[in-house]
Formats: sequence, C-alpha cells, structure tokens
Amino acid sequence: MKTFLLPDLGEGLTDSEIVAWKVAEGDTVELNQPLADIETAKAVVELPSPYEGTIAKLHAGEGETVDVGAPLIDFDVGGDDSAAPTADASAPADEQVPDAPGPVGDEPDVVTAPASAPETNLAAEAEAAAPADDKPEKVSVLVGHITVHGGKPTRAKRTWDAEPFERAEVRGPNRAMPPVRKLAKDRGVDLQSVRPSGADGLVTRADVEGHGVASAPVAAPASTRTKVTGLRKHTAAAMTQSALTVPHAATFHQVDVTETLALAKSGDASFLALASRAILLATKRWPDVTAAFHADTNELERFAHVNLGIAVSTDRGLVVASVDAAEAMDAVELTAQIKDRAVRAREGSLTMAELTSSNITISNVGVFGVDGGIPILNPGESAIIALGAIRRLPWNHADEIVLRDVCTVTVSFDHRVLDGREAAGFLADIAAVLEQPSLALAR
Amino acid sequence: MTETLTLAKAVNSALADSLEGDDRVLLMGEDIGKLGGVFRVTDGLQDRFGPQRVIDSPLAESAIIGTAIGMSYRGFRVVAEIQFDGFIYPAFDQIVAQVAKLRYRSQGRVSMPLTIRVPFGGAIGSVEHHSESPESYFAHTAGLRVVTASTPQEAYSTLRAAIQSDDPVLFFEPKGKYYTKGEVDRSIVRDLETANVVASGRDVTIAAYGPTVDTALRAAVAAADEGIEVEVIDLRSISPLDVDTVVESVRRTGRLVVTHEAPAESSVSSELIASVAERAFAHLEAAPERVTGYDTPYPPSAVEHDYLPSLDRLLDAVDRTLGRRNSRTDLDYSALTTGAAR
Amino acid sequence: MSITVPAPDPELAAGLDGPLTVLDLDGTRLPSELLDPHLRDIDEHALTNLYVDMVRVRRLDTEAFALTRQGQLVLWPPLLGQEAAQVGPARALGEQDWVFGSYREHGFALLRGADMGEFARIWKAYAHSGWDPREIRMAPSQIIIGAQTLHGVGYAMAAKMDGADEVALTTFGDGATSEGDVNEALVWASTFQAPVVFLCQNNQYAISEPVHVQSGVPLALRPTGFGIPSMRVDGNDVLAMHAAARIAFDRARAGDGPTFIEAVTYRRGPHTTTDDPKRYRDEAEVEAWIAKDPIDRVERALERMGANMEAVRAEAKIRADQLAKEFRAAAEHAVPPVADEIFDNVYAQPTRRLERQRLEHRAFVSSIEGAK
Repeated sequence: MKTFLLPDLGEGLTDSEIVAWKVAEGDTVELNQPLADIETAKAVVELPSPYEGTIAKLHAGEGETVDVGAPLIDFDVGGDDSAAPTADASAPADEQVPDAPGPVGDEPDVVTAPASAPETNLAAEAEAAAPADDKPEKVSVLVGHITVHGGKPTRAKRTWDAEPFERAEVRGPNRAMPPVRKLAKDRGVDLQSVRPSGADGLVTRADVEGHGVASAPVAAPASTRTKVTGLRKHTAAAMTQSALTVPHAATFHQVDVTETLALAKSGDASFLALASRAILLATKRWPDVTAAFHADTNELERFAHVNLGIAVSTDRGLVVASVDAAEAMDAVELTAQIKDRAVRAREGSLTMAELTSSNITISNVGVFGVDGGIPILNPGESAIIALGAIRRLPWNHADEIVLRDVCTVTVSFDHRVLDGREAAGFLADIAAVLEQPSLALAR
Repeated sequence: MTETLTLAKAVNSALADSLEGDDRVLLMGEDIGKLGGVFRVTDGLQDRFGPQRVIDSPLAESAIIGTAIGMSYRGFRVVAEIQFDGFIYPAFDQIVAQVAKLRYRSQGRVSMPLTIRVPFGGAIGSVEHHSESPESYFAHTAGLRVVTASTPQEAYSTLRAAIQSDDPVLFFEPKGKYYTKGEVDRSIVRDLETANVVASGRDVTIAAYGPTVDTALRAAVAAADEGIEVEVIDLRSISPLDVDTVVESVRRTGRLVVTHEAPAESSVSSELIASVAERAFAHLEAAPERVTGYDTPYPPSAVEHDYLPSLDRLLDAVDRTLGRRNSRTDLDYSALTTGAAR
Repeated sequence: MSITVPAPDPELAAGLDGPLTVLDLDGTRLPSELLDPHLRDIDEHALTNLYVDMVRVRRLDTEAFALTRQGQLVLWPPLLGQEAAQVGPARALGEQDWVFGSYREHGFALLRGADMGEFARIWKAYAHSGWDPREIRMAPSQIIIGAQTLHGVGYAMAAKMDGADEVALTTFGDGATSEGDVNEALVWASTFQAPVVFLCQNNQYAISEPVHVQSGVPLALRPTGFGIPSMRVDGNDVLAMHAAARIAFDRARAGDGPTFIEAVTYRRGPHTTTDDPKRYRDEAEVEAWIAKDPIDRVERALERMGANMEAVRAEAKIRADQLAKEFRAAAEHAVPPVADEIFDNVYAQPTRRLERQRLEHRAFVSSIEGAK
C-alpha cells in the first residue's frame, strides 16, 4: 500500500481543491495516468498517477479542499516489484528517507512533496507529526490570546530535560552597567537598595562602593591598584605641574557671613554666587589676582575680563569650569551660570573653551564639611579662593558673644605675581563684603 | 466591518482600493495584468481598471523602476511590482542611486511617491533566486522607506499607507504567507514607521518582521508552556526602525532576540541591536541574540528549514538570554581556532 | 586588443519575410540558398539521430512534468514544442564549445551529457546546479533573465584572447531581449567581435506576456542595429536550426564575430508547473502550433526518405522510455543535501565567522532529541 500525499503544486501553497476525479476506487491505473483535476490558488492542473496499481482509497471528494501534505490517494501497488515499474524505484527511496538528514516528517511509507508542510523544520517533530491543519486557532498564552495557524505550537524535545523556568527577580527601577552589576554582585549589594546618582537612575560604581560597606562583610584585599585614566589622570598631571612650578603661598580669614547667608536664603542668589560677587568686587581693587605669570618670557599677562573658574567635583575627577566676563554679572545671573557649569561638568558636556578660559578660581570646599585648606592653583592662574564650611560659632558681634554663621576663606596665590600684602588686601576686601553685603553698594 | 482574506487577497484589495480612490495611481510590472501576477496578487485588476492603469511591462526590472520615476515627475503614483526578491538587482541603480535621492538632490522640490512591491522570503520550496530577503540593501539607503507586513490586515493597511506616502517605499510581502487567512478591516490605514507589540510578556522581547512574526508568535505560545513570557514585536518598518518601541520593551524585559530570514551580517538585526545597545545598554540582562538566515547564499530549498529561523531556534536563543541550558552551553569553540571545524 | 567594427549592413538579417525553413510541415525538403550548403552531410542516418534526440528530450520533459505534479520535483519549466530549437544547435556545437543558457535548456543539458541523477537534483531543490560546468562545458542554469548572455560574450572574448578554437553559445528567451544585460551583451560582442552565438528561443511568451510586449519588430532585426548578422529561423525545423547554428559557429571560428539566431518556436506548456496558461492564451493558438510539431515533420521527412519508421519509432521509444525510467529513478533516489552543506563553498577559504555558524548549527541540530 502506498499513500500519496497532496504535494505543493505551486510555490508555497497551503491547500488545493479537488475539481474532478478521473478514476474511482478499485480502478487499475498506469504510471502517469491522469487521476484528477486539481485547482490551486494559481491554476487548475492535472494530477498524473505516481504509481502503477489499483486505487484503494480516495481520501477526498470532488469539491473538497485538501491541505498540502494530507493523504489524497491510497494505492495498492502489489507486492511484486516487477509488476510495478516504479516499485523498485520508490522502495529504496523510501528507505533512504529516515537516514537522510533533510526535513524529517516525510514518513517512510508515503510520497510527499519535498517542499511540504510549511513551517516544519528539521527539529519540529511535533509539528510534522500533526498534519497541516491550517485552521486558525486561538491559543492561550500567559498574556491574552494569540491566533496561530497549524495547531498549537510546541517545542521539540531536546536531549536534556527542560529545567523549570523561575523568574529570577523582579526588575526594579535601578539600572547599572554590566561591570557595575558584577561589582554589586561580587560585593553582595542589592542594586535596588542603592541610591543611584547617575542620570536616568543609573547606579554608578561609586554608588555601589559607597553603599552599606558595613553590612557587606566581604573580605577586602589589603590594597588594590586601579588604573588612573581620563580626567583624573589629567587633573593629577595639572596639579603636579602647578605645585612643582609655582611658588604657592596662602592666607586665611575667618569671616562672619551671617548677613550674606541670610541674603542667600531670602533671595534668588546662592551663597556661592554672592561670595563670587564679593570676589569680583575685590578683583577691581587688586587686578593682578587674575594675571598670569609667564616664566619662559618673564611676562605678566593681564586680562580685560575676570573669567571666574568654578571648581566642580565629578565622578570622573575635578574640573574647573569658567564663567567668562563674570565681573559684569549680577548675583542672580551668576547663580544660574554656576549651576549650569556644575550640571554640565557632571554631564561631561562642557566645551573645551569653558574648561580652559578661567583666570581665577573659586572652590567651595565647605560642601565636604571642612573649614579650609591650601588649594593648589589651577595652572596658569595666580589666585584660588577656597570657601570653608559655614558653622554656627560663638562670635563677638557688636561686642556681644552670640552665635553667628562663620566661614573660613582661604586664598592661595602665586608668590611671583602677588606678595603677602596684596593677597591679604584682596582677602580682606572679600571678607568685608561678606560680613557686610551692603558695602557692595558702595564699591 | 471585517472580512476574511488571504494575505495575497488583502494586497489585492489594497491595490484595488488605491486605484479606486486616486486616478493617479497605476500599477506596472511583469505579468501583473492578464495573468494577475505569478501569485495572483493582482488578479482581476486589469479587467477592472484597464490596461492603461494596470500595465503589463516588458521584461526589464531597471526599466520598470526607471520609467516609474519618469511617471512620478508627472505626478503619477506608480505601484511597481518586482516579481521575485531575487529579480530586483537589475533595478538596483534606479532604486538606490536614482529614486532614493531625488527629493534630496532637488532640495525638496521633487516628490517620488513610488511604491515598489517585492514578494520576499523563503519557505516556499522553490528554486534559486525565489526565496531571498534583500531588504537590508535598501534599508542602508537614505531616502527609501522599507516596510513589511506580517498579516493580511497589516498587508492591507501598510500598503495603503505606502501608496499614499510621498516617499519612495519598498513594500516587502512575505510570499510564504500569501495564502494564510486573516480578518481585514479595510477602514484601517497604518503609518509607515511604528512597530506593533503583538504579544506581551515580561521575560524576553523577540523583534521580528514579515514572515518571522508568525514564527515568533508560535515560539511565544510554546514558551508559555515552560512558564516563559515572551513579548513579540512586529517591527513593520525596517527603515526607519522604530527603536523607541523596542527600547521601551527591552527596558521592561531586559532581554532581546531579533529574528529575520535575511543573513545576519550587516542586517536589520545588526542595526537594531546596535541601537538598543546605545540606548538601553544598562537595561540588558544578557547579550542580545539573533536568529536569522546564516551568512551564506540562500541554500537549496530542500534544506531551507535548517537555514530559516524556526520556533526551536528562537527558543534556543531565548534560553541563552535567560541563562538556561541551550544548544551552545557545552559548545567547544576551540576547534575554530585550529581550523578543524570542518 | 585592436578593435575593428564593421560598417552596418542592411542585408545583415535573413528570414525577416518568413522564418528560414528547410523542412515543410509535410516533411517535404524545401530549398534554401543560405542553409542548404550546410546540410549536405545530413543523410537519413543523421536525421534519424536528430529525431531520436528530440524524442528523448520530449520524453524527459514530459516525465519531469509528471514528477512535479507527483511531488517528486518542486518545479519544472517545460520545453514541450521547443525540442528542435535546442537539438538543432546542440548538435552543431563542438566538444570544446561552451553553452551559457537559461533554465529551460533541458535539451542542451541532456545532449551535453549532464548526468540525469545530478540533473534531477536541481528540480528537487537539492542543489543549485545539476552538472559540473567544466566537465560538460555548460554554465549552471540561469534564472535571472538574460544575465548569462554577458557571461557568454566574456567567455568568447577570453577564448579569442587565448587564441582558442572555442565558441560560446548563449541562449535566452524572447522576454530576455528587453533586459539591459542582453542589449549590453550585443554591444560588447559587436565591439570586440567576440566568437559568440546568440540563440534567442522566441517561444512567443515571457510567462504571460506575448512577444509583442517586448518588441514591435521581429527580434532578429534587433541585433542588426548592433552590427551583428542575424537569422530568423523556423525554430520547429530541426534541420534549419542545425544549419543556422553551423553557419553561426563557422563564422565565429573564422574570426568573423558574433551571430544572432532567432528561433521562432512555441512553448506549448505552461511557463512552469505553477503557471496557468489558460489565463492568457487561447487553446486554438496552442492547437495551431501543435500542427507545426517539430518531431512530426521529421517523421514525415524520414518517411519520404524511405526510412523504416516503425523500427525508428520503436527504437526511439525504447531509448526515450529508458531515459524516462532513468530520470524517474534518479528523481526518486536523489540523495538530499545535508544541512551542513549550507555552509560549504561560500568562499574559497572558509571564514572563521561562517565556520562558527556551522559549529553552532551543528550544536543546535544535535540538541534536538532524535535529530542527527
């Protein structure tokens, strides 16, 4: 018995209709004898018999639609090979199929179109076993329904038992780059418990390193070495150059900034901007604080404008961002400009000009909670002002000991350009305005 | 009002409605008139609209596109048919060097509202040059819109939009799905650049287009048996790519598998994965995977099912993104360095 | 290379007022001043051989057609009706010559000696090529319309540069004459006076499109504009085709450059097994061409020559049936490709990228229970 499956008579057809049978069950047929007219989506074609033998069964009636790959005719071809010219040809071919690594699903005892059953593949035994039933079918998935064709799809069996799937974790809002994720994993830090400092909720390496150190009893190595790159490397070189080539000197002044602070709290100008105004006023009286000393030519270069550098600490290192021609700005505008520089410094979007044009720098070291220190000059500049933390201290104010807001202001300077008298005068002028902001009106 | 149509018939309806709605629309191609196209996609259109509007062209692909450009100068909206994907190359110059650039070259003064229909993809058991996926060649060219369809509804709605567009559009029709049926609402006309999320899931995103959308959906159904939720995105437009929709999905799932029949090298998956890496890198829980045709010519179709993305290959990739055991878990690549893979 | 282009000759085309014919429908031998000198050695024996060739080619074609309907082949482009247009020129080819044909050249493939087992593999979609091109000196079948004509011209140019006694025959259909490639091939053949023969089998249809969609003038007139001599020949007359091909090959071998032959014939079957010609042409038209059958008229000619037709027919049938049986067995026994072959022969030197994919594909296949 041979079962003939409907082949794909066009290119990519899924079914065909039986227009007319030219034979009946029980008829004896010759090889290539016309058996039926079949209509595909493309044409009406004649089907010649693939065997010599007797028609045992017609699987479909006239007018019926048959799927490609479905049984169409059973032939009784007899057991005698010599009786059927094709028997010797077809039998070995049949036997070859199981060994052939081509598309499986062509069962040994049937003849099919080599390009049968759309959507089968080498592996899809399950699909091949189920004859193409292309009725659309609604299949339940975890979320809603999907309409699929050809029965419910299933996966081929693999050579191992499928492990049950367990959803590892609920993905929280915090994200991190893969190396940071690894760091967190290595340190036993749950990313979702870290406060992200990066843009778009990104947890940075520093966030992980600074997170719950105590709660993570991971044996820390005695020391680690990390390659210094990028901005940090650049800063290191610049500071070294400055410290080694410029004779630094410094002077300090504790200043009662109560009134300036009150002004900052009540108005639109930040304390840093108001302090900057005080500095800018002082530069008018001491213009050489913004000059640059050129050791190679022994020249002093003086500038038309005060380009006020704002020192900003970022993840990648320290940068000094310039607010050019700052002397012309009021405190409100300076507030905006300083904020802009800080934000963009952290984004890394400052221009090269903004990173290199300052001629005097202010550094608000107070944000780190310290009172002061001796800042190293930004290369090429002659003065840098450090503002310490503002503390409530007992203070002699109008001859009474009261609590006042006090800040230590430090000026580091290039001793080749400025001497102690000028630096002290500059600092005293700054202090005077900070103590009594109304003085600014007079200066 | 919906009707049940095969994808081929949905394309036919979109062409008919476009011809009906705008008398400047005309069709041109080999065998599209009297024969009704080799896939019968244009069946009956010449009878209905006449040989002046449904033109049986001489056998010359470069001329089909080149003359359509000339017609576009006079304001016709030509829908040109390239009979099979593998036959498009003689027209390559007219497409990538001519029609793609005319708006740009004319400082916006010339519109080329040309639609180029191309049956593409395999799984039809055919001979050489009849099963290819050449879309990336065109996606690489600025000025061309390259879109696909995955269902009869998408075929109808997207083709209507393509014909209405003032840009040259390559419309790739999944010929292996021509005879699959689906509901079509002819009042829907889609845009040409948004992807569809066609199945929702939390665990992994599969991005597909054209014929592989169905494979991805079937994979999603099979994956559900194992408790894995697969989100399936039908990209629809290959150029421009709707990266936003994919990024939004990947931000939720953290995993991405891209599938298409075209080879992987310099392909849609190359572009999509690069874009997702640029925009959602920190959201990826695993390296993106792709399940595509291999980097070979389209093979003899007797082995095309090994070449084409399949449900099982897709789920194998899904397992990789989920860190589950998969076919490459124990794969020893060391043979490659010694050239002993063969 | 020095280039000499002959002046256009208005007399370049022969047969424009009626295809050149030497065998009438009733088998009568018609005189032809142009062709007769090239048929002097064709006796009853030689004509019988051409007859048997045509019967075998037709039998191969009809068996393959049936095998496609039976699902054994995926596709078949039948040549029924075009036997003479292929057998005549194929038997004029020298052993050393090359053929650059389309996808309907089963007659050429058979007569060039293609192994039927390998040949069947093309149409089972088991392989892209069904013979060794270098062994039978015939390029792989070409599906992209007209592309092979340029290859034929290039081969001929190279043969000329090498001083080889080789001619390239490139054959294509009426539809192909619209393609840029074919027109460019004519330019190059003319410019470089390449030893190439253009055989256009005008079977009246490019799938559904009648030849007048491609050309308002006889196709044989076209090459004259390129300076290429041309003959319009009855493509159902195997002797006329044989003689015309001999003329063209002789010219090429003599250094006289390219020749164009339009074989006026008819494709009686569909374009391929997936086509439905009833949609675009009348049955009466087909009937008219059946009356011009290329095999029938040779039978009549042989009868007129006094051949024992009963014996000739019996002999032809035995050989044709043998071929059909051989081809059916080949189709049914053909060894399918293994998936691993997908990765073979993409490059001369295997690339690491592709070998990696091969390895991954193997791993995938072996991960499936029961697969090999």
